[in-house]
Amino acid sequence: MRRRDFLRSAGGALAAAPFLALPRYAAWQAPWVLIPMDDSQADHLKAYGVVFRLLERGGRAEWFLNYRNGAFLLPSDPVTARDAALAGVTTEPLDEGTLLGIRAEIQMGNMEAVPLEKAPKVAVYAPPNAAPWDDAVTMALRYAGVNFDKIWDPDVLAPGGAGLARYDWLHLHHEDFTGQYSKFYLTYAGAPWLNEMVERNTAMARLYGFPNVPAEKRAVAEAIAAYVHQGGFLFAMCAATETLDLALAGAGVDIAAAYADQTPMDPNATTKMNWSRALAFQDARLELSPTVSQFSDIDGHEVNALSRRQELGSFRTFGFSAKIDPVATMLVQNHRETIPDFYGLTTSFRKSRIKPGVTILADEPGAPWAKYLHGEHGQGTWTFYGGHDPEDPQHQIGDAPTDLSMHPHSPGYRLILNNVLFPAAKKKELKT
Amino acid sequence: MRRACLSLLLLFGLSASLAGQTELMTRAFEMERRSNFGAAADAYGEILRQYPDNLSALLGLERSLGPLRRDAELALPAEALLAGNPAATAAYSIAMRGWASAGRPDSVASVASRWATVEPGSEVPYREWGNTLLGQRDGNGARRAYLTGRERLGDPAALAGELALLAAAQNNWDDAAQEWALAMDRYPGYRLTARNALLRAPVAEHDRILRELSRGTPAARRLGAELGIQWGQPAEAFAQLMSSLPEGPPAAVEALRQFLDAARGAEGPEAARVRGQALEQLADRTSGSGGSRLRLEAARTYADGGDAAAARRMLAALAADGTTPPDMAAGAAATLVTVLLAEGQVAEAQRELDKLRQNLGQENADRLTLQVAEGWIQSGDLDRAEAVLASDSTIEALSVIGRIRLYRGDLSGATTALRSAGPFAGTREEATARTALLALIQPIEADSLPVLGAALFTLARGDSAAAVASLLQVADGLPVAGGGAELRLLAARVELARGQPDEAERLLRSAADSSAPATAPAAELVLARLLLSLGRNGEAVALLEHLILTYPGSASVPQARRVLDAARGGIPES
Repeated sequence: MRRRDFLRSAGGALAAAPFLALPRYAAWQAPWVLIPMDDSQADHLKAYGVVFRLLERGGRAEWFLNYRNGAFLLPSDPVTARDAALAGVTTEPLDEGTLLGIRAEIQMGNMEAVPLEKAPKVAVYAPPNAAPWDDAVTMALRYAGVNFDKIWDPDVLAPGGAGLARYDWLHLHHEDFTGQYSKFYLTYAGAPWLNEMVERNTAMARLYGFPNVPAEKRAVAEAIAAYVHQGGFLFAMCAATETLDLALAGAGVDIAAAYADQTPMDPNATTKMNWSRALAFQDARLELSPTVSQFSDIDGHEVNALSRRQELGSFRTFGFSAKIDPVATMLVQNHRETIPDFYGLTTSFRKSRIKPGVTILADEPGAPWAKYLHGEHGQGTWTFYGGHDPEDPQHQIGDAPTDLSMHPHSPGYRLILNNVLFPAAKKKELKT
Repeated sequence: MRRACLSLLLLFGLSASLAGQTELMTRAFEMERRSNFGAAADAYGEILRQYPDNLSALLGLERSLGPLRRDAELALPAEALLAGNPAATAAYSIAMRGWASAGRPDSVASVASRWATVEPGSEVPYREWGNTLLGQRDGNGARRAYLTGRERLGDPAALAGELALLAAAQNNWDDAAQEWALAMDRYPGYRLTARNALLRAPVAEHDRILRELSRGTPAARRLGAELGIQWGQPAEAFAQLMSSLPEGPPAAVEALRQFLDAARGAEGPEAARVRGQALEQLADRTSGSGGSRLRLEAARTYADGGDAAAARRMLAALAADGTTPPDMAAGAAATLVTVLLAEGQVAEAQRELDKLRQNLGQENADRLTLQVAEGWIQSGDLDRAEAVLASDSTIEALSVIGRIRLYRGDLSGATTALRSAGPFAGTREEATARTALLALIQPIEADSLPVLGAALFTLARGDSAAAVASLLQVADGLPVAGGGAELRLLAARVELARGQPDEAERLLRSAADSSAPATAPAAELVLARLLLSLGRNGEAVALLEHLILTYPGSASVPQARRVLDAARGGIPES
């Protein structure tokens, strides 16, 4: 569902709550099932999958924002009951009377019931050889059982944006859209995985007639921005957040090191950036050294600049008014407000580099950086989440993959899955 | 008088100048201490403009510019200092870092050349040159710098350590091995660094590295031996060590100790035997009680490696040596008991134990007593096993007694003893096995069932094929929920361990009987894992779903969900 569609129906969205009692469901007699998302939930992450699959089957659900940490209301059909039992997701049967009481409670408090109507078509942008366990979102989707397609440059660069137009939700992880291979080129010189990455990207640039990889990646970034502008939902983590904006703002400026495009970076690149083209950031200073695995001063933690690296703390999600800001409220639904931070090539976003108008969803209290951002671009929205893997805070290349069955309550991963269900929601316009 | 006046004026001028510098330095240092690096850098810069030869100010300037990422500004003041004092070697490295940060590699090279003129024959200028470029992550530039140094010094082994570390960092393991081979004689202190650096090499490179080192000097070959033992080639490693052992006793002892240090983490019986050989060599070169201790350690290590003959040889040597201290003699005797048990000489082992029991500590005596009891069980003599434990009231002994009763078919007595042993006796694996035995006999109503005891005893003694036949015979005579399903599950596990998947699958399907709800989910879980290992994922997934939905309260359900997740690709396979 495109953003403009649900904006159009914004007025009636909340009034649509009784839809679950339509005649097609009335035959079930058994009334409702509540999936609580507070500490009584046995598997918070798989709960999202149960809801997603119900939507895929053409069913409908409601998301009770701020009620029991973002509970879901589902019709009590046998397929869903089986699915929840297999997934080990805690459910509670609800009769009509209890449900009425819950609705009254929601009406009175800072809560909201948001209808979920259609499973979004999900795409994950990753190279064909990407390991399935090297991306927090892919891991979360696989663990929860949310279907997705993997796409890469040929899909994004398809004429007229046709490749991306098939999807409602696009995720980017640690791609470097400046085309500098995450600036690992010198540090990991000779490593087979890096050689393969260079060869693959070079071949792709050649195939599409670009002079070099940075130029090709910039075109990919432009196509992604256009997709959002036309109503797509974008979710990015780690280095993809920062480098996407650098690629967009750096149009016409050489921001890539010589190893990537055979010419050194423009020493005055910082002053030549056009930030009006970027989604989230402005006025960043670029990292000029080709040997420092860092792109700019957008990232507050600078994990790879050893002398400047900041220690990890915890970040806190903000509370929003569920009735006025349902979008922001959806994105921060969680059973924990304070979440341990985790490193990534881009871990956090300096507040001084964030554009006015961007909604900060989470930050580290007292620190000059934010962790989780949301904003609009044209008819679509984007969400940026810093860091690599919420359950592997010190992630290093070559680390064992995270086994999410050991972290079924991960609040950091919940934030990712909020984003997956968010496009399914029929919601009012963000007011803040 | 005029000369005296001039001298006084000069002295006054000098002291005024020193006082001025001190005051400025104090001010600059205070700013640096407050982390006001911008102001500190300005202050140090001001001092250097007035007093270009002030090395302390130059060092302060470097400390202040670093956090500001303005190291490039170091180059000119460092050069000014060197112009006045070319012997100030510290300033050369600062100048290099400044020029490197300014992106001027040619100037870095020029500084290195000037430094080399001041210190001819020294590796230091070239080392600093290379290290400065490494600081800029210019690995190839650093390599050129080290090689230039080697060429200019006319020494083929110069800077070998630096080149080796660099090659390893660049995953160039051939060069790394070659350079470490060169470095071992020149810089023996680098041995541990070399070992740790080369240990990071991928498995595919191991043989080439060992081959390269084997072509080197004895020191390089010993390095190869230390790597070989850690890379799973113990016999070859020991041969390499012995062929390169220094002739002088102190040097040989040192080399053997280094090898043993490297061998500490090596696993497996072959590695244990090689450790025993190295310890024996060391013992032969060590006199007095130190030698006895090493011989005893060698005996234990040989025993761990399954070389009973070598262990006994060591113990015999200890016994024949009149200088062996009494505590060590007791240790040797205890080791002898272990060796005898390993050889199946249980009666002799018990005699040895009885002889030395008084000299052993209680803990050691109890441990060996249990081993002797286990020896009797293995030899088939349950009466003697029980007799050995008659006066032992430890929970570990109760655990063994429980098994002995079970093997006799005394299910009631076995249950009492195994429950009394509780969850803490022995290792975690032993505690788990004990719980599994209790779960096995719990559903059986009879207090005594000798045929089951005999079947389990057969299994304990290693005759798994006969055990399976006996277990199934017993199972046929029991109700499904009264032990029949549980015994079929055990038989299936044995068949799995024997590599008989078809028979295991047949037994698991018969054990997964819904009329035995305590056993069926466990049987379905084992069966699902078997099906997955056979690539029959669809069947496995259906079975796991059946397990979860049919037996939601079973303790097997969490594991079943994990296996299901892995089968569907939801989590990485563990």
